[in-house]
Amino acid sequence: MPFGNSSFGCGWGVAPRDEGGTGLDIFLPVAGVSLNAFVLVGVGALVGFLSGLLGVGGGFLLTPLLIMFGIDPLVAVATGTNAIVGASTSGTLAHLRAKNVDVKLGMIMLAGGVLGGGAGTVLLRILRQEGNADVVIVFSYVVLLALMGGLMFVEGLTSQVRGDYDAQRKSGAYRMLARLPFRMRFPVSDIETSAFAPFVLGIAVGVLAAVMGVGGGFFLIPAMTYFLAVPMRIVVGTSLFQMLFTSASVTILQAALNHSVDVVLAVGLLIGATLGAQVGASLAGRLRGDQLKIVLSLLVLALSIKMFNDLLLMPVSFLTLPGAR
Amino acid sequence: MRGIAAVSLWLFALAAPAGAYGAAATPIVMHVEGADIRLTTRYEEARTRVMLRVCEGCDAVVRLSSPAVEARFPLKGKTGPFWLTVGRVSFHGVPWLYLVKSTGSLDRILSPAESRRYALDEAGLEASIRVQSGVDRRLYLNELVKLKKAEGTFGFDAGGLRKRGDGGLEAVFRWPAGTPPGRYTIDAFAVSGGRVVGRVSRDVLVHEAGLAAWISRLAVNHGVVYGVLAVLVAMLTGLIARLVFRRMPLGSGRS
Repeated sequence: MPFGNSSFGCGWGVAPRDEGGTGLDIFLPVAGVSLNAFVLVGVGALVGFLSGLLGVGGGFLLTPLLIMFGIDPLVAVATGTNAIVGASTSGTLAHLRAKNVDVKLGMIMLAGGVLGGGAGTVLLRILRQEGNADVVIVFSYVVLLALMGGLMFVEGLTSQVRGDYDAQRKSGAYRMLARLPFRMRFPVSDIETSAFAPFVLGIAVGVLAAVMGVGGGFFLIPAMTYFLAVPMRIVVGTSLFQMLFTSASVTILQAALNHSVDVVLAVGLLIGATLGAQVGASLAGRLRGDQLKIVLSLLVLALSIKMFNDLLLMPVSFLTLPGAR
Repeated sequence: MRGIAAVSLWLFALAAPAGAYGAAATPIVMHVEGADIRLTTRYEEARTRVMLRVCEGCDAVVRLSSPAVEARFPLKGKTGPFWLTVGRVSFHGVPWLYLVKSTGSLDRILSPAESRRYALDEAGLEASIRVQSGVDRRLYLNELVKLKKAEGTFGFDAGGLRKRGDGGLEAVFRWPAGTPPGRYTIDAFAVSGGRVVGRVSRDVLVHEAGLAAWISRLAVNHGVVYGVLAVLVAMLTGLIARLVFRRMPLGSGRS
């Protein structure tokens, strides 16, 4: 039996149960719900638009929006990861062509990513069997959205252009990590550090991808810059490379262990996201990014508060649907 | 050919004068459209139309239900500020689907004993379900019905069986998304003087078909293959969509 409706979603766009459909409903075979085609592509387009306009990663917005639209949190997370695969493919290829990827560093991070992704997927499976996966996912998002919203708000308010990351190279943290065992040279990034550091970073990104369905760029990019002292040009390409393959491995693991990847949902979101990102990027030069960032941060904070409130509300019934296949 | 035969039979039934339905003869005739449901990606087409002709002055009730099975439901309890799963409760004899539509309020058209006998109202349905021992039966039955009603898989719709222009009755059941494939039953009852005076039944077969069925089967039975395929489809979609949308004129800003 497919997954049931999420108890956290308000069911916007989900076809009513006993009424006539709009004629454009698409049945999502793994999610087990029917979603209006415009809503499906529209959610992707909204996330892609904001991503293109403000230069923020869309993963952290996609999963909570899917949950709000009545998709089971477990399916939302796994399908979000699948969508990240599609969204990062062309970027990774472009960066590979431009030689902006430190493949050696990326492979070590990827090894950690696969391990972390595997651990995260197993953790979700256990939580699902316990019946608490949805609560953990939603709570993780409450924290993440509050952090992201807060950071964006401060950034937009101070109109602070991110500093020159390269100026932070060879920081104290970098020098400390470089003293750890398994020291290696990474010629593309022009650094020499312990393989342990990128491996652990990879694990963290893998866990985030599996439990929250995010690419982890918001965490990876500053961490690679600060802890590994990788030049910004290489950071973007290498993080995308690692994100693509970590997300791919997590998608396969989620499909194999939790049966929670809905490819129909992912394709619809991807089409919308790609179109939205193009529109967003084309408008980015004309609109005040800092002001928009403040608006988005407030929306993200409101979403976080709404999700937190949903967690505290008494459920419709003390019983819940078994929910999983 | 079968379709023509079914339509002819239905037209014959419609053509029969209302007086021909004596309570003792044929108090109820049923025709079902959509008795073979294919769950595809165009899910909104999955609906079943039930058309009835009942004895003069009679009311009617129609029920769409699935076989009763044993089911375990997670039980939520407050742990700190959050509602977490704290256990599971077993029920015996729970149908996955139980939708009842009638020409009027069941309290008005049927006696409580008849409602209970044929499990046509909430009390009748609850009486047919057994709850695991050692728990508050009343409380958990209430919670179960509340949950299933919210899900849309239990429903009691007084007035959902409406009069047609030709004097017959009609109800439309829209199959809930996530309906498991299997055999379901439509039972129609003619009611007069608070009692059931006639009953007809018909099975409805629900099966997944087309792309949705293929995806669903692959996802469940071959998770790894499905996962690899999902990755490849996502990569390809990402590449194609980017190629297509990049060529679209979207303004003079940066792209």
